[in-house]
Amino acid sequence: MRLNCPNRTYKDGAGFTVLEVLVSIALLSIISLGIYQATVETYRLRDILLHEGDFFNGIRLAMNILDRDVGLIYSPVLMKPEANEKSPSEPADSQDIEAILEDDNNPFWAAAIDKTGIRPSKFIGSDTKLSFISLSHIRVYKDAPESEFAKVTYELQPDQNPIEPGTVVLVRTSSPNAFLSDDRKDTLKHTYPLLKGITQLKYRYYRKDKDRWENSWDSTRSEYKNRFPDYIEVSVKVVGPSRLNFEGRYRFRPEVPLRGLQETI
Amino acid sequence: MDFKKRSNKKKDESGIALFMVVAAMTVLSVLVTEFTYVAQVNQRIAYDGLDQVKALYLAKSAFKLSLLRLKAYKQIKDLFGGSPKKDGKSSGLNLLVPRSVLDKIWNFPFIYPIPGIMVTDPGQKEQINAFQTASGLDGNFSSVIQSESNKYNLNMILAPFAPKLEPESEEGEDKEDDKNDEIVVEDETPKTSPSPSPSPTFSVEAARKSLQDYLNQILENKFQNDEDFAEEYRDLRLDELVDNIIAWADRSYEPRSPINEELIPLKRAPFYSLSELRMIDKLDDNLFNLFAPSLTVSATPGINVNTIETTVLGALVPGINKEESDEFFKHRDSEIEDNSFKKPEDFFNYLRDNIAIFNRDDKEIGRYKDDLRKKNIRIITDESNFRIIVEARVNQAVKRIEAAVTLLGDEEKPEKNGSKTSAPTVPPHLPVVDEETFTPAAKTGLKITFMRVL
Repeated sequence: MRLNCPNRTYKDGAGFTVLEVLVSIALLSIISLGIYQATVETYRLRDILLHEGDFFNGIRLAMNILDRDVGLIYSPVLMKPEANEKSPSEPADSQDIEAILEDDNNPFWAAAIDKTGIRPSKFIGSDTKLSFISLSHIRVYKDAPESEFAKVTYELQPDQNPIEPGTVVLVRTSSPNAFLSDDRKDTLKHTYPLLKGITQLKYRYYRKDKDRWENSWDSTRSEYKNRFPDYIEVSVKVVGPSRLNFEGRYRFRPEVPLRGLQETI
Repeated sequence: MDFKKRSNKKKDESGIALFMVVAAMTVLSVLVTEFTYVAQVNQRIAYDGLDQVKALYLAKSAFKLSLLRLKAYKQIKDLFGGSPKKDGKSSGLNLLVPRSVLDKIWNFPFIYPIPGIMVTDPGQKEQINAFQTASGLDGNFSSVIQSESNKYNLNMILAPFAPKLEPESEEGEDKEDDKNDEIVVEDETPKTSPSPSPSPTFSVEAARKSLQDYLNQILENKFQNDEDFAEEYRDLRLDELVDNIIAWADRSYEPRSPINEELIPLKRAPFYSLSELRMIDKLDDNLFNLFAPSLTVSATPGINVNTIETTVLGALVPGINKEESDEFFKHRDSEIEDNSFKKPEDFFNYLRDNIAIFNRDDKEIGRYKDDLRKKNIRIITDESNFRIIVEARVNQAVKRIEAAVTLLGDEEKPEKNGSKTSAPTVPPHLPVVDEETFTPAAKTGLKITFMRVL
């Protein structure tokens, strides 16, 4: 090392003075501390950025999945044939006919509307829970016995590892075994958490012909008979790590033309 | 020597500053890279979300455009006498416009942006470019409208979905019509609706056998053309498979052999989506891929011989060989002259004159027609059921819309005041819904019976 000091010369084997070493150590410490702080701060910001990204992407993804399910809601109204009293395909067993026309206990399917067995799907919605039949299922595995149909339920459940105390998690349960009556026997049912850290979530349902928002919807009740909401609104408040929070309102609607051509497109 | 030693020592000492600078730069570079990467990932995700929305609305625009084409096709067809009048006859104007030209309205695939190669006129090219620039549309889309009546309807095994077969005396009536008025061509569009009421002669057993025969013919043709497939499915019990299919859709059917319903219970209701076939026991992906292109669940009025393809022709006309099949399509799709079949009788006449198994014999054709009647298969020549497939792409985001659309006849539109015409107000296969629900479709003359947005 060459010091810029013209009055001093270094002899062979001579070292730095104590003062020089102390000054250099002090300088090195200051520089190291600066680098350390910059590094720590950068990593902290990076973590915040990552969490923020994950947080908002998580919300966006959850709402996209809900949007797709609602958009592809199923209704047999598009294919119902005209009643044919003298249909040759009429079941021989009249008790069987009565059974399918009156069986209303299935949580997803209403009683058959004719003797061919066409059953309207139920849409049951409260302010925190939704269940319906959707055509949104995507088959992944070869030879899997799955169609486009899926039974879908969205509900809030307590969070085992909450981000903050008191928050709940939005859970999606779906099953491609859409025509199975007894839910307990369903081995294809799959449940997974969709969105954590929810402090508040509320569904509302818009009814166009009455021009009003409802807090619940039950397509089996006479006033909603075989009708689906024209819009579904989700108001959600979510908290995330690093004191992140989000409050938003989403509106989804069935893309399938349940109420005629013009209203859909 | 001393000088050299001292010089080396200086060199060693001078490296520490460089080392520190390089170390600091390395740390900073890693951090900056990390930072940039995370920021870019988040930005990409945000832009992807935006692209998804753009792609969705682009797909919806393309879908609307497809509906517009179908609407235009319907109106032009009506204008040229495509729809039957009250007396069941066309005006004859449809002779002026070849069917192949009319069909181009719906069957010509549409791509946006319009490829330059498709437009030869420089003026038009300039106008199109100006329009495309002014539209501000990002991305591209393709829209294809396919015939849906060129397939076998799986729900035909159920009486309410079965097509109405022509009365046996139809041939005689046609001849009578031709004799009376040479210009007037009997339009084979069903007189009451594109999908008429179930035939009073509907036989559920015949319908079931018809399905089995149809699938069997497809399978036989595949066996002949694909040895590996034949080897793999040599032991396939088609009767069991058909048993399962019928039991899935028809709740009155008692399967001949017990069906394993432990994992997947039977639906016991008509098919809504062809993908339901995948849930049927013994029907794996290979068989699904073989059968699905020749099947539909749309309530078609019959099988349209002007749009059928090789597999369906093979299943429809057992015994037709490859050369005859190729010749059939060459003749039907000729660009030199309009050889499309104007009425089912034209199709039967073609078979009689060109397919060896019929020996140019009217009796053979008569037997074939009887056979089709027994199988509940109706031959039609007009298209009223379509499948729209739209794919829109904006950067990496892709949205796809698939929909089945039926053209409604004039007489199917319900009158607003609730009074009804003498013809059925609603096609039998379409929903009997409240007036409010039905009115928009009736106004457009189109009815969407299936739609999926992905």
